[in-house]
Amino acid sequence: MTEDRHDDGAGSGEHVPAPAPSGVSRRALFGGGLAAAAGVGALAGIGGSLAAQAASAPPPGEDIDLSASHPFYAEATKQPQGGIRTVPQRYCVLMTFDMSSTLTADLQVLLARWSAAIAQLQAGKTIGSVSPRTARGSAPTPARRSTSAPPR
Amino acid sequence: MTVTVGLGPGIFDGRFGLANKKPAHLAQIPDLPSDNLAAATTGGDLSLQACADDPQVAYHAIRDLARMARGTATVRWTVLGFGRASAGKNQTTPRNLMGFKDGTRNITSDADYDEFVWLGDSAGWMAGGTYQVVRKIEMNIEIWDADVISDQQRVFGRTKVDGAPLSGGSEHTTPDFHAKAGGELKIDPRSHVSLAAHEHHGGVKILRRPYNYTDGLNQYGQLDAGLLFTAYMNDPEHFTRIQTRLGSSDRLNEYISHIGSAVFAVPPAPRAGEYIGQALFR
Repeated sequence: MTEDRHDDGAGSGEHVPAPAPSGVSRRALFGGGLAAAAGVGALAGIGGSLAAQAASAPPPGEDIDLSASHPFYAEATKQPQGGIRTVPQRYCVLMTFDMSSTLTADLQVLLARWSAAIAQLQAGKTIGSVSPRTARGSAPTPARRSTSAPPR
Repeated sequence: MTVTVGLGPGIFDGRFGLANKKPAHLAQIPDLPSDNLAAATTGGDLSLQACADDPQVAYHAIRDLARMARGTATVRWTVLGFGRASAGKNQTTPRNLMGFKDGTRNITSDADYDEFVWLGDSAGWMAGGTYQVVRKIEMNIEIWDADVISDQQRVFGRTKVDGAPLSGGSEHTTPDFHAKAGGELKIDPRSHVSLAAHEHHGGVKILRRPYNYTDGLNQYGQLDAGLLFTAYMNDPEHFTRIQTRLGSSDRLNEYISHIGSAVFAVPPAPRAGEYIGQALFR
């Protein structure tokens, strides 16, 4: 998005010098865009955008970076999981589960699969390739080794 | 985004042969004063907390992980939280749905994390981990909204706009629980800020990481909303101690109701090639 598009809503098509791009956050631009779209003139639109930028410029630490990723694996022992000291994100889904299986190996496989999947998710990747695909497959380090061959 | 995995007390009952690995302080939260818990929003053998700046991302992650659990574990309860009701490093203090700043006196320093959140070497395989306490707290926000601001401020012990303690100063001024005006304490001893203060709990603190929630309308057609209170601490008894006091005499109790509760042990992060809780199976 460029500064020029602030004028779209005003519809004047008149060229107006764009404000300096440095330090303009996406949110400020969006706020400015709305101000312009509200039907004020092109110049007022820019003025409005600057005012909105000043009013809505997020304080340090409040910016959203949707490309942010968090390493999952510990680089040292006794390193906590993410999501505790991590600077609080804007949304959270909590879900709790009851074990329906009473097999230790099933619990083990679930924790292993979740770990592998979460490592992918926190890196911003999809999790289609996480294996084993079935909980009846072999665990990475099974407590009770199944007699059947692990699925390929 | 981040996903945090917790293990409930049920993992360490007789079913999986893990009773001897049970984390020392992992036990169900006892019944507390003014609890109004519903079975449908209480407990669980496992917890997932997915947090992201985009709700689509957080929910997609949870859904993928729930799918992977199929055949092994069933979903017990879930809450979508929005508008983080706590501040991290460099963040400004947000507001809960009662309109007050929430988390002003939260844990922020390394020293406090070490003393009150992380488990030390004596915790064995849980060293570097912590405990997660979750409470679903319903707010009667329509009744709250009918209350005058001066009374709301008395309930919290802080000003609504700035979040300053009623003893004076600005948001981060330490509350003076002895300050008086006209013979009366400026901060009501039954206010939320006074009862929750670590000064009144032997110095004990917990890390709060709550979110607001709404479930639409309740059975009476009123706004159904509240706080998904999630807190981390190195002993869940610390929560119990604070909530016992709050549940007994907090002025806020007229407007809130604890309808859900759960506790989980949160193991440390695994090293590359390992998985969460792997030490349990060695």
